[in-house]
Amino acid sequence: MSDRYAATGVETAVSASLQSCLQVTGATTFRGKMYDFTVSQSGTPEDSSVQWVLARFTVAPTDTAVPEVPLDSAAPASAADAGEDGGTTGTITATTEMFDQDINERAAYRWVAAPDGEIWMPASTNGILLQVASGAYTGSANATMHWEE
Amino acid sequence: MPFRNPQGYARRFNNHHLQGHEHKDLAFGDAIMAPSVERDTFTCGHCQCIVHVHPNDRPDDVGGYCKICTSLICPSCVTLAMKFGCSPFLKKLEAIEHRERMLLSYLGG
Repeated sequence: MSDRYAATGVETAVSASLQSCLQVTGATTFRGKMYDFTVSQSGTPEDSSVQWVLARFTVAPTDTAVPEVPLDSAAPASAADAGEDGGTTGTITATTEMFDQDINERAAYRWVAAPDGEIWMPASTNGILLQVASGAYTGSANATMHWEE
Repeated sequence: MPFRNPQGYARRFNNHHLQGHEHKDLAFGDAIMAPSVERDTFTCGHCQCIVHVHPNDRPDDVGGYCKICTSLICPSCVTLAMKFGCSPFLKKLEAIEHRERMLLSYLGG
């Protein structure tokens, strides 16, 4: 039976370039499935557009590690590695964008997959990440991912 | 009709309606001054991109249905499938994993 985990990430200074807010790196021992993510902005409310992109990477961004929290407290530690605030580092595969959406800075967005609609992570050291950018907003942005492995 | 049962859902939580601005949100197909909005979504079976399904959308506008892998696919993959045939994402996943195993074997990892 698979176990479910959550990780949260913060991009402290959103800029016009896409920066990694939260990433999950897989491992060769399992195929992960991301089934839920939420994104929002926590700066002073203003009317500006914030772009969020969900993409795959082959080389993980240089990030700050964040804990992978099991949703069942009895579950073993996650084999995946989660990290936040990876900036523009890493090798992101541009043609594998699975989600590209602009939202108002005042809004939050949540996506939930139904069974069989999850985003797969290969059994490799590749992974998936949420990137954020804005031409006007420079505050912080928050993301949460839930996955199964 | 394959689009009667999209898979997941997306929700936009909004407090923008307090500001009285009128802009169109293309993904949700409504004015962003509306309060929280929820839409059905499906995940493309060929590339895994997330597609929002608006109420009363024609199936042709949302994407297509691959009868070979029996999955909903996005508009880009409909075009690709017509040219190159069915390419389910799990095949690509296996290719990614195979590539990594090959690299590790070359590097002696």
